[in-house]
Amino acid sequence: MCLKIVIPQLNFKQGAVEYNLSKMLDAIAKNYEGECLELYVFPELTLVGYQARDLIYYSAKSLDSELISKVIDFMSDYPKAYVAFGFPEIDTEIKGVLYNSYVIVSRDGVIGHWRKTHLPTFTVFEEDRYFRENTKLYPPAEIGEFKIGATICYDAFYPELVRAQVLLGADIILVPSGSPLQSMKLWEPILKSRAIENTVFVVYSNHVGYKDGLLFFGKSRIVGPLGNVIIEAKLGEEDIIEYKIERYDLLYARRVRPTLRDFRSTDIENLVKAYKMSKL
Amino acid sequence: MLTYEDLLNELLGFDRELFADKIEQFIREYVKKSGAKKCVIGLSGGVDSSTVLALTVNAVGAENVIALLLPHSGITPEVDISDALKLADKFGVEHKIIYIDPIASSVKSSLEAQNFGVDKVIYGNIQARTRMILLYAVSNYYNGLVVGSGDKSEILIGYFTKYGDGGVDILPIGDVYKLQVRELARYLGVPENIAYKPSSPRLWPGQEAASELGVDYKDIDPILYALIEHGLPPEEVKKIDGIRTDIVDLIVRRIVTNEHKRQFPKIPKLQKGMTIGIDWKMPLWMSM
Repeated sequence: MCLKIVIPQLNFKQGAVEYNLSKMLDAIAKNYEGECLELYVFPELTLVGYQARDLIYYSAKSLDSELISKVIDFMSDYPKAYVAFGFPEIDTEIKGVLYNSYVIVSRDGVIGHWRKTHLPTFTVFEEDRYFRENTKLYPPAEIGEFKIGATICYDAFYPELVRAQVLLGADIILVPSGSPLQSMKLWEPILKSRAIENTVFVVYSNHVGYKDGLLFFGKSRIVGPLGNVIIEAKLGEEDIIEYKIERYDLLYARRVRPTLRDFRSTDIENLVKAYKMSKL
Repeated sequence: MLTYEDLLNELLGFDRELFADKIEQFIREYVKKSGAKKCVIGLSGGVDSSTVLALTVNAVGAENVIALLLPHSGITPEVDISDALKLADKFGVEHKIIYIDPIASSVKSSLEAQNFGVDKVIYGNIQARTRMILLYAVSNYYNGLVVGSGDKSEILIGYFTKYGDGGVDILPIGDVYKLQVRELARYLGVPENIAYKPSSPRLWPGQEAASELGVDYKDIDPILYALIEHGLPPEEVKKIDGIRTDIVDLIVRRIVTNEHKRQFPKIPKLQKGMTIGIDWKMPLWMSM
């Protein structure tokens, strides 16, 4: 069955969990067609809004919280829909420890779960103040015939993380993001490179609008497995884009630019060796 | 090697359309979130306030903007008043003129009656703060907000009056250097005579920024740009070919000594919880 990716690029509010949740679910209700499987891709920390600062402490939820159940219940009316969104997650076992997390939810429950590894703490970013870094590897989520991986925002700057997910079978990589205008130019080569070096689809979903003087630039996009930008949303304003993923695009890309076929385990082994020899 | 010309070209090569568009979006979103019913702008006839007026009109419409001309007899040049009036008309903005000399001179006399001497700098600051009082009174009247005109160059070197022209709700061109503001002004249709008018706070007769600071923004801006946008330490900036090395220290000193104007007043931390200005880290609009 076909898979349609939908990116509702919306202006979420800082700290307004209830408002953001209904804005997110409204977008699904409004756009649901039910012909293909539909994956709605929202940005990093969707529910708390990016740049929520200390409001993050008040908004964190656990994976088994009522809020997640609410989303699962909602999805029962949309049997072919999947929603990917971010929120500050409280560890259920070690209380008070927070992660910058991202999930895929359907009517069957949480089918994908990732936690951010690289927490930007420089210039305007202060994620280390709130979150614990994740070092685990999470398996891809399965939607129809596709496997979905995710690297949250700055994690996509680390090709090793994307490669690991691709080795586990991911053929679509979601990159939820909370990225301001000054990072806009950096994302262009990053997203294209991650796509080409793995011949995978890269789906970028960013926040929009001003949050305390910082403009989140949007430009959510879907990049094809040869680095081609298939569709891109507006700069800094609300918009919605969608695209039906074609399996053939993957197969074709892997024929004409077989970066995965030509990948060698020694690439990684030498990387580990080099790392051990380095002073980093 | 980076040269003065490179810095100037990079500075002036900014994307005018993007800057204007994104500043307008900033104003529009801020006005909407704050629920303000009117944008109040102190219009001097200079390039900064004229540019801010144009941006604000584009953002929220002329009907949501009011311009206050707040001249001081004997100090504000007639040409500034007529330039400001023409500009307000051009952009279709309602305007009022309130002369500030009765208010400012009354403050001056009250101080002098107590033997507090009021020199031209003190009187200059009294004028700037008088304007702030009037702008906020009108803003209160409309349930509006005061849109400030400070640019990045002035804010960095502290060339403004604390709680005077610095006392505003938003600073739409606060990340735009003075030389860029002039070009942005032209892009927005502000007349050339305003866009390239020599900068002056007009706080005493004949006051001009270039003579008071001892340097022109053509010298200042590339140095600020090298320090702030290239992140170069002062010693490296001095090595840049074509730059006025003699004024680098002066500019750095101005940036450092004026930091107090840019921060919330310091509070000694005493409680166990969060303290404003120290570890209180909240977004402006708290949706809890």
